Amino acid sequence: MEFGIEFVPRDLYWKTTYYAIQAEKCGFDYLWITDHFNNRNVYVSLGVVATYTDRIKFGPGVTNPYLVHPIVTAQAVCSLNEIAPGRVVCGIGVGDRTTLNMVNVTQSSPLATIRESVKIIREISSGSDVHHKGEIYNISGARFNFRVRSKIPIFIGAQGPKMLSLAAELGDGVLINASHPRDIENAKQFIHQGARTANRDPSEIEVAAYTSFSVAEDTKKATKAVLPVVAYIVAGCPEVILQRHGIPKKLSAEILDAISHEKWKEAFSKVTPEMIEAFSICGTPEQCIEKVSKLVRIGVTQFVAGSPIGSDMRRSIALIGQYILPSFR
Amino acid sequence: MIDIVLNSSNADNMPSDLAKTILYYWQRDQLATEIGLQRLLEAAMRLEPEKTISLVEELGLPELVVILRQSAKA
Repeated sequence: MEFGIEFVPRDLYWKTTYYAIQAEKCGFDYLWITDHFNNRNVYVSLGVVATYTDRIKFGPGVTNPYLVHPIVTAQAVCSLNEIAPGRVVCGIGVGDRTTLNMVNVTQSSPLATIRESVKIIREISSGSDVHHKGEIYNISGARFNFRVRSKIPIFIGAQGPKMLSLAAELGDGVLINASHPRDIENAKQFIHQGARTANRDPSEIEVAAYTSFSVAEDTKKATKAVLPVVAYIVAGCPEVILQRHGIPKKLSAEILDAISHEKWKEAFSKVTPEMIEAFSICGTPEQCIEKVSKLVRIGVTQFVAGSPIGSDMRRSIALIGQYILPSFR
Repeated sequence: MIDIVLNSSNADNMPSDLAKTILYYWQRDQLATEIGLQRLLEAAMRLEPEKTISLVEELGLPELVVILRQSAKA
């Protein structure tokens, strides 16, 4: 069982790096940094992290091919791999609709876009000349003028059935955006389906649960920190997933409406304990251990503690390192 | 003291070279050494002089408090 942590580079670079060093000291295996144009650049952030860490694996979690051409993503991760050989991974997905909307970029042909992107990244990073004529990209004879020393594992961010299957077909790992065992169980059937299509053994595919996570000494504090994140998840959640957790669509629409009118208090007051249960892992270290254990039992191979981590980042990372990680090792 | 630095609302005032020095010592487990603490104290005083002086007072280091007060005035 491996553990990952997600950072959003909203903070100053030295704070993110401070927490990255702390995460490495605590025993985390992976560090994922989100890629949104309105935060600090993911590769600049990872470059600093690469310099100040020695063991932890890291990568964009996740980048998207709509704003960054896959050839540039490959260039970035392969360059990072020179600073931290063998420690770089590449997380890729269709991106966040809200931020893409801000720049009028649509997530068109998501399956073809991800399929071709993964192929291009893999080919050029293996040192080959890339000749690609696809539905989305057209590349004639691109290659790097530098050597890539080791393979860069590619993790595909997925939530819907088709993307989950594709991720299992192509990826070294799948990053499932979910926190509840029911959603992970559901995702696993599509992962198995994708693996079968590609004649792959499902056990060779890393299955990562990319969760909304919050830990604190007391449940109330942990819950308070995760509440805004859950509100956003519920607001943007597909109906089929809401139904799976017995959450009325009407309530989700009300939260979305409150958020879009910046009525934060109203939006957050509508978040119910059922929503928190469905879309986050939060509580005391003991409570979190119990919830993570359920995910391990259904075959998750990497647990990613995603945003917000906790109200006090340094304290929360320390709690994970002191109590949660040791109980799985 | 690290919490004062990390949670400061004046974090933008942290000089980049000082931040990198602190990260250097943190990576090498030397933040609690004399030189590491000096740099941390320097950062804390730049960002939150009053809070830092209060903390040093709580730690029972009156001589250092006098020095820090003087440096804060300067």
